Amino acid sequence: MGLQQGMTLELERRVSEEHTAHRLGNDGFHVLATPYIVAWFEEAARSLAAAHLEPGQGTVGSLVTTRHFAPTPVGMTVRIKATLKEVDGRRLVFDLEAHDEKEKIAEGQNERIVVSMARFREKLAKKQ
Amino acid sequence: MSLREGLTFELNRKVTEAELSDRHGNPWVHVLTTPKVVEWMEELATTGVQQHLSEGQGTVGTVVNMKHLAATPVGLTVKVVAHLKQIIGRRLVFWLEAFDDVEKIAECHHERFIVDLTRFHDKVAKKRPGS
Repeated sequence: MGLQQGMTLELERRVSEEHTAHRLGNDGFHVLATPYIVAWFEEAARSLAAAHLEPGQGTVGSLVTTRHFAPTPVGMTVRIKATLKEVDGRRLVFDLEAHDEKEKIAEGQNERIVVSMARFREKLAKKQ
Repeated sequence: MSLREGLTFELNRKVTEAELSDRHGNPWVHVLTTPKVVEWMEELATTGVQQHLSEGQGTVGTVVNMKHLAATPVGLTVKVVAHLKQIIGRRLVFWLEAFDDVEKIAECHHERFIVDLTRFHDKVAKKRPGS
């Protein structure tokens, strides 16, 4: 596993109407909804990890924290940056931040656990 | 505004293919995604308090700190419970928990802020590209 502290990954997403709080049931708020920031934070962290895992391994999110402090209107592009802050055995901690075209809009952390996909599926099958 | 500390709200959702991780880019994990749980939690907190606000008010989410404790396969039903713990001026503090048919799957500290819709829209309009 070649994951090292300090590795970074960036991704960009354009905010469209489908990403708004209005679409998620918060009437009248045509701005980027927090759950999409969470989704993009996880996507960035997961993609960073995925490139360095062994075959048959994956990661699952165990903890996500987000402070969302500025609204972003539809049409703007949001840039997400993930930085691998800590590698502690199978536990990975990522720092995350999001900027729209005007300002920083959110920051947070995502903790992910490296899992064997075969073992994960076995465990899951018992619950089905 | 009839908002008060101690209010609780609940919603139930069945986990379908649409909520699986692979639809959100994690191709090997066929389970309910963390962002979807966050979405349900925010939806519950938002709609729960909306009926207690004054005309022209709404809320925006400011903090989400969620622990996702267990995986949920497709077909199970998830119950989300929200508890309005604290009201500090316009700041609302929630504690939320989610359970599938087998066990507790998530818990979350969530904060929302009460905003005046007109003022909020003015602020957002100023930020739009070209303005």
